[in-house]
Amino acid sequence: MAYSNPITLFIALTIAALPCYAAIADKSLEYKVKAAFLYKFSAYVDWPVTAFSSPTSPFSVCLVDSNDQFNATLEKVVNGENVNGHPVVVRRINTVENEAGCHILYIGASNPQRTAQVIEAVHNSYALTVCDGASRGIIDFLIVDNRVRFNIDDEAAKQKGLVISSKLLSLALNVKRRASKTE
Amino acid sequence: MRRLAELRIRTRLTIIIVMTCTIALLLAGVIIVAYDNHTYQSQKEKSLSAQAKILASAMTASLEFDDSRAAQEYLAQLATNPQIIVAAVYKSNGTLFASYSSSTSVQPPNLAEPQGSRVEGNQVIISSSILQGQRQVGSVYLQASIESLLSRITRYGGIFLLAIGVALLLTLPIALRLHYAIANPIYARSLIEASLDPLITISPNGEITDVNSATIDATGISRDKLIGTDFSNYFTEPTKAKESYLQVFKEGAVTDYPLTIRNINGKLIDVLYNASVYKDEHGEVLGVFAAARDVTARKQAELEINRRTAELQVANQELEAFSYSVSHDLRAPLRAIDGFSLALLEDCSDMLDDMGKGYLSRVRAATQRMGQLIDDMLELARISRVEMRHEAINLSTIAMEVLLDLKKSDENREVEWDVQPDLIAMGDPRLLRVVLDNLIGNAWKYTSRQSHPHIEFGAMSNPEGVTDYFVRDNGAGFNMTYADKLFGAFQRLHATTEFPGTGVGLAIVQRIIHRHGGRVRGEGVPDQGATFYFSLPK
Repeated sequence: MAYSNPITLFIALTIAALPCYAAIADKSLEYKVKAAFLYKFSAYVDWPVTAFSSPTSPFSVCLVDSNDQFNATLEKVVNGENVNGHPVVVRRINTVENEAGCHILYIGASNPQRTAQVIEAVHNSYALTVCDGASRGIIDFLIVDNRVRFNIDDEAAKQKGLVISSKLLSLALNVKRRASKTE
Repeated sequence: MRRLAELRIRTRLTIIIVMTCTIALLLAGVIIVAYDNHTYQSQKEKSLSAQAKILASAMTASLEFDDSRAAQEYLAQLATNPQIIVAAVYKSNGTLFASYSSSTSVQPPNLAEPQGSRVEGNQVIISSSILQGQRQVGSVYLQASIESLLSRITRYGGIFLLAIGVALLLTLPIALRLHYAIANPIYARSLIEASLDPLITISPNGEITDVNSATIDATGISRDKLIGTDFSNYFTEPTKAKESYLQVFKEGAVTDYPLTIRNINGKLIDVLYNASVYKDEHGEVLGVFAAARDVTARKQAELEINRRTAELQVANQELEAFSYSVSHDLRAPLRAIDGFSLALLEDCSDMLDDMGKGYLSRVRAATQRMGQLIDDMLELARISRVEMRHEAINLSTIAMEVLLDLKKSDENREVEWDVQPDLIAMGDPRLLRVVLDNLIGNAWKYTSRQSHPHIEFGAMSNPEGVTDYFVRDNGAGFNMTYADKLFGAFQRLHATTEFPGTGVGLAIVQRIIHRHGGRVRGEGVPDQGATFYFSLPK
């Protein structure tokens, strides 16, 4: 068959792309929800005192390998907000070092190797790691019944000195409980 | 309050207890119920508000993370509280997020309500915002039922009425039992009933209010028929009876008021009334309390005394008349006998031999003796009747006079005497002179045979502490075995030939001393002497 007619080509392409629109529309909502959740997590997690240099030092939300739409949404959500007096700051980073000073670290990449690398890098920091379905971070997003849900690894949080509110834990789909002291 | 005073004490006590209990419990009940009602609703609002806030705080996470199922599960637990009708959670835009309702007939409002709490009928409705930090992330709506005020009042009212009933049931019997100790003193009543005097209480308008059994006996009428009737109905002189209690009310008391009760069987009882007013605790006069003293016996005794006195007076008058006639009618023949005997002696002495003259002398002596006897009898009778004076007398002076008189009439005799000076006594001077005349005269007479006659007059205290006056002589004396005959009229222990006398002297002495209220006695030893004692009370 010859694509001699440009109009038919155009129509064909559009038809083929339709699912993509739908997909893109769905995805946009998903980003919005995830971005909102990302900020909201901060209300249900306690960071150690050492995580802040001063009472008014910034609260950093670091984004690694996240797409622009997600970033834009997040910036809108956290605009002007603060966490316990710490102004919220959004940072996009490519390479992660330990001293990046992230309070929340969101890893958008779907590449498991990349995710593992990033998580390993901040393994000793107090960053609350949030992943997308990679089951490596403290909080992992997943989509269930067309809704954004999450799993929580409370053991990993404990190792970083983070305390997660039971209210949040109760909303998680799966929780890896922290080992109790008497064990 | 006057009516209260007239009811029986038992009824009064019952009323007082019922009233007190009821008022106290009623007052307590009203206060408690009112206060409770006042605070119940606001309390319920507060407690539900608190519940709403707890609910809100529990819902924040599920709201923020859009987990309505978790919220629904939590809300479903509210079923444990049956008072909660509806509980709902709304998102920040007002739409319903999750809800619970106890029955399918009630549903939560579709849109969130403005924040606040209110009471509608018997329901409390609370709407409270859910905050995360400073942001409102949604709102919680709570609708719960509370008891209606009316049912609360009814319930509490019922409880209090029950309490009153139980309280009365318990306290009334106890109080009525105890009231016998204070309000119905059996002891006092039994005393009143035991009294032999008719006792009676009279109201200010003259009506009988209470009687004892002695009154019932005296009037012969039963208690029920006596109470309420006029006091003066039962007397022979009703006006006088009325005056008596009027006087008590006026003066406060009356003593020995004479009246006569008429028994229904006709018998009359003379009484003396003692009565006084009695008052209540405020000093108000409640009535008269009167006691009657039966004086029939006394009156009869008085009548008897009067009768006998009258008889005595008649007897005395007869005796006077008798004495008068004796003194004249008996004397006249005596005078004739004596006179003619003397005439015979003087005018016919030459015709009479010595024997004849002797006979005539003896006749004369006898008549003179009889005249003396008559005089003495009259004297004895007179002594009994004459009016006695009562003054201070110097007995020593009188004794001396008597002795001097005797000495004058018999100058040849040597008689020694001892008179204790200044012996003063109370009595009739003429009569006591007669006493000393007789006693000292006797002493003079019965010592005529003594060579050294001695007469003494003095006083001494006898064993009973009374002063005894005595006349002592050392003359003929007498035999004590006949002592009881001493003071009898015409009784003599010696023959006329030994010692002259009529035997009336000591009877006269005794009569006089007895009239003075004193006593007289004699002691004697034959041929040694005699002592006569007499006492004169002050």
